[in-house]
Amino acid sequence: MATSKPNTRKLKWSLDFAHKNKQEKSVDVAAPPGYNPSVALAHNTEALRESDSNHLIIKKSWDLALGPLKQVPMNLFIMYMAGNSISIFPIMMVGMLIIRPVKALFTLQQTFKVIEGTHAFGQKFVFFLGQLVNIALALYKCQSMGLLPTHASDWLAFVEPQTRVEYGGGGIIYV
Amino acid sequence: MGPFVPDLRGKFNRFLSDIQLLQYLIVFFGLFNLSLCLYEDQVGKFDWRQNYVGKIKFASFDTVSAAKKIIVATEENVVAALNLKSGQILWRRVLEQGCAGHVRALGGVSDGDLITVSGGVPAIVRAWDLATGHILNEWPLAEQNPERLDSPLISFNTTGLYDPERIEDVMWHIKDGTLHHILPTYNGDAHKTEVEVTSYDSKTGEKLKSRKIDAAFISKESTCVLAVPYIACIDQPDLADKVYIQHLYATDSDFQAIPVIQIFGSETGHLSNLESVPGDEPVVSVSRDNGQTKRIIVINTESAPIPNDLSKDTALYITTADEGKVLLQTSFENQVANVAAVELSTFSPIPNLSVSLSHNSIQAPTIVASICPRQPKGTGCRHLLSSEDHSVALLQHSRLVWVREEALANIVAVEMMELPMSDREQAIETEFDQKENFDVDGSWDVVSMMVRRICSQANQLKGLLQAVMGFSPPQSTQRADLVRDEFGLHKMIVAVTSAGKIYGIESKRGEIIWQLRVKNITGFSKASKKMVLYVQRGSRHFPHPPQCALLAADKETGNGVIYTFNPMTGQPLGEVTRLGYKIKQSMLLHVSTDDFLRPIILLDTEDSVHAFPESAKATAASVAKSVYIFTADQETGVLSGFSLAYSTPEELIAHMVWQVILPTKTQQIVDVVSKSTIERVHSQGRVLGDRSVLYKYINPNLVAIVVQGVGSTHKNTLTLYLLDVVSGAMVFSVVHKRVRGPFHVVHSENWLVYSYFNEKSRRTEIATLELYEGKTQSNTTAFSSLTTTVLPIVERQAFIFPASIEFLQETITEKGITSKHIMVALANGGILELPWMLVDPRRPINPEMREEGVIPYMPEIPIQMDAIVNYNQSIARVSGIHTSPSGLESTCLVFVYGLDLFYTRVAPSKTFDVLKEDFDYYLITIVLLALTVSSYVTKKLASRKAQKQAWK
Repeated sequence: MATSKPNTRKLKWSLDFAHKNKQEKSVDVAAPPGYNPSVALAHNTEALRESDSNHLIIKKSWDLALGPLKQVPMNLFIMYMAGNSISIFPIMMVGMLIIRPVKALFTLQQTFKVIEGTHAFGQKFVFFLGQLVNIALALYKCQSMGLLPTHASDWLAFVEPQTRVEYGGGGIIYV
Repeated sequence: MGPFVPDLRGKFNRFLSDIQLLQYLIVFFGLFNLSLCLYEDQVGKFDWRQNYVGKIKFASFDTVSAAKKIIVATEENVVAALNLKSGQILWRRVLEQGCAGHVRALGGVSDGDLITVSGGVPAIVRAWDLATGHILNEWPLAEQNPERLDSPLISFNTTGLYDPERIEDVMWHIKDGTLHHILPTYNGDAHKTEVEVTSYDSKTGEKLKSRKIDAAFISKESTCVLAVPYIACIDQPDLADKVYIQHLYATDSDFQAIPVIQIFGSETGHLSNLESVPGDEPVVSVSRDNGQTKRIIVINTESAPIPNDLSKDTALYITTADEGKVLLQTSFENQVANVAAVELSTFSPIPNLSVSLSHNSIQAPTIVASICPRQPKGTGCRHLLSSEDHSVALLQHSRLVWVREEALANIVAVEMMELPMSDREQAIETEFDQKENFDVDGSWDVVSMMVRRICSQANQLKGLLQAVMGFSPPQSTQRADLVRDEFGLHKMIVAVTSAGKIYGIESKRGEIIWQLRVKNITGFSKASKKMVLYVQRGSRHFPHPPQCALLAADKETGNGVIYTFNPMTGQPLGEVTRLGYKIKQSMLLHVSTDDFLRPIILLDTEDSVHAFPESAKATAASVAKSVYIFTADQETGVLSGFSLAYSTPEELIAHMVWQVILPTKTQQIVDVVSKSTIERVHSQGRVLGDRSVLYKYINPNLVAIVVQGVGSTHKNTLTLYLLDVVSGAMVFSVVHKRVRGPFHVVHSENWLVYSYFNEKSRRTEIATLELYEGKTQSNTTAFSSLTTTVLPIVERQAFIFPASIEFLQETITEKGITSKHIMVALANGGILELPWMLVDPRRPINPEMREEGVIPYMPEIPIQMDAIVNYNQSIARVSGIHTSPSGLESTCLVFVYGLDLFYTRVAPSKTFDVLKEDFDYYLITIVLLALTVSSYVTKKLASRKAQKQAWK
């Protein structure tokens, strides 16, 4: 595994008796004083530690992936606080609510560069989903503030005038 | 962010409520400032006014006052004083409109006071201050005389006043502060026929004396004229053989009878056309058997006919010069007016008093006033001429001093035309004129285009060089200032007057550019004086000249007359077309021929259809399937719709497709109001409070028919019908009870605004109707009257208007984006710009049901003084308002006509497409430059600093 190498390097110190052991196995020399066979378990703890840090990374990346979803209640609260009237603060907030997830979606690859592992795809998907939920929330907010052009009146300016089919004229007779 | 959110909540609420308050304040102040008002220094910058008095009826030179002037009384019921030197109005008093204000007599000027008699029953006598035009005295003359209750000639109604129809028989004479009321009466009994002369003190109205003079020669058919102090009468025109003359003040004198032989020298023929010759001597003129000549009789105790034949068309006037009486004969031939002066007694010509002159505005003049004061240099005369075309001119010592175009006081039709392009632009147009360059095979002739291009550029270079070298530029056919401007604000106003005179007035200053007179035309009917002006070709089709067509009636036959002319130069385009039929209705087609001429469709009294010009028949026939024409007969109450669908390229056929009959017993059509044909509607619907759309019912074929109730039961009712003239479908009708006229209607887009007088509450009211299709549009692309069967939803509302209304008109703009205002001509002379928003029928009564941009309902419409577009320049007796779009979407041009002319421009939604006039170009340029410079400087400085930092 590629990650084990730097991991071993990371350890501040370690006793490497392995080579010696291997060489002495064949010679069968009595164990020197102070030799503790339990030290041989170091291999095991190392592996254990290795798997532990892996687990941490995965956990951390799940945290990252679930971040947007965790923001939802907070966003809901902010939205509730902002109210539905159109004035500068609610508009700023709604703007932020929209812009942030969109930005995050654009920088998705960069965010997940550090995250690798078996769960990477799932994490990415969850992260993406979370951002979508945020966007949907923001849009819902826009909708409730009446900022979305969903009504017929919003498209009224583009309605072409009706063309005239018949032409009528006349009036009170002259004579 | 979390921790401070709850804290923000309170601030938000406060902020929001502040914002809301601010919004209300903005709306509130917006209401005050809905119209664009003027600053003091802008007065007269966009507007001009011209005052007129109308066609002159009576005139008199005021020689007693220190400031010499001319006192006139006109057909428009105006008494005014004109400056002798310039012709400007010194003062003007507008009397009552219509019959009640007709000036019957004017006199007393030579005695230093001005007395007028106006109105019918009762006549009102007024004494005026000559210098200022203030009324000094006013008294009504209404006298009861029970003796003549059974008189057939002068019938008296129950109140003992004259029958209004016989008021014309009354003659008036004002002399030495005494008003004489002269009334010939005929009782059926020859012995009781007499002339009653009643004298009043003209200032106090005190009855001085009344006497009756026997006049057995007067019969029922007699025509009598006053030749003070005599009355002259002839019998029934075809039977008269004597002129009877009776002195009015000498009771004992007997009448004189002058037979035909004494006047004309031979026994044959009968007398007709007895007329009094105005002036200082009792003289009458009479002609024989409607002949081409007339002769005059000088009346005194021994009346003497003068045996000299005068032309029938010669206008006569008698003036005093050098103690002798002078007869002035005014004739008009070949555009030259001649005033020939002869000694009255001897008929010897006086050459130094004779004048001959030619002027564009003097057409068939008559002298209405003349004086010949003795001066050191010799006797010279001043004549005030009134022409057949209503213009007034002053001649002094055989020289024309000034001319007033009084025909403009009576405009019947107006169009505003765009000015043509300048010569240089026209040259470019010709260069790119595709029609000529297009080859037979459809390819461009490259060589000829190249040659053309080089030629035109060489010409431009030549022009430039000439300008630089100081040579005179080549003579241009057009005036330099009469070209189209950037914003299309400068236009040509084409005004047709009831006198048959057409004027071209440029709109910037109101200068008359051209004038022309069409002979022998009159309005279609005597009552309305209606003439129709159509713009057949605008000024955008160079090299084709713009073309206007005037539809009128022949003065003698009443047949249709069409006159086409170039509205920019006043040059006639072709001859006057005198049609062989009477025009019943007409309409301008929406298509144009190959040379961009829009044909006119004429419907004659036989219901057959003609096209004008004749050559456009094929064009008309090609669109005939979709053309409908309707007529409304006021006398029979029949409305009929005709379709031209059966037309062939050879012949246009009108086929009646519908008919609506309004019973004339109970209803009378007053007016038919259709929409402006050039109108465009930008917004197709209206946004409601719940953000849905209420679509407008925009039916271009809809007309409003205003019907007044007649008869005792239906009197004082107003019925308004909305009729589709293509299908004949009655779309809506509404009845108002206990209201009376005058009714004014504006019909535009999907709404109607009309005003009436509410008898019950005694106030003027404005009612509005608005038509909506509903929340969905039945057909989003096209409107056809024949397929749309859904009746519109009608919203309506009425408002109190705290002033009397003379005319209503809506503003119009190029694309219809700008909101609409209604121009209201008030009776007090103001022109009010009333936002349509204020008469919106959807103004909610319940203020909680607010919609965007809708003001809560208030019964009374306030008149904002800053919304009066003519500020203090009152416009008297407005008869019409013409609105025209300018090149700017925001701006609408308004031309008000009546007795006065007023022109201005209004911007209903403010000038959103133009920089303000006081926009500081310098400041913004300086700021921009400073910013650019400073950015470069700081860039330099910053780089230097960075460099220094790097070295540290």
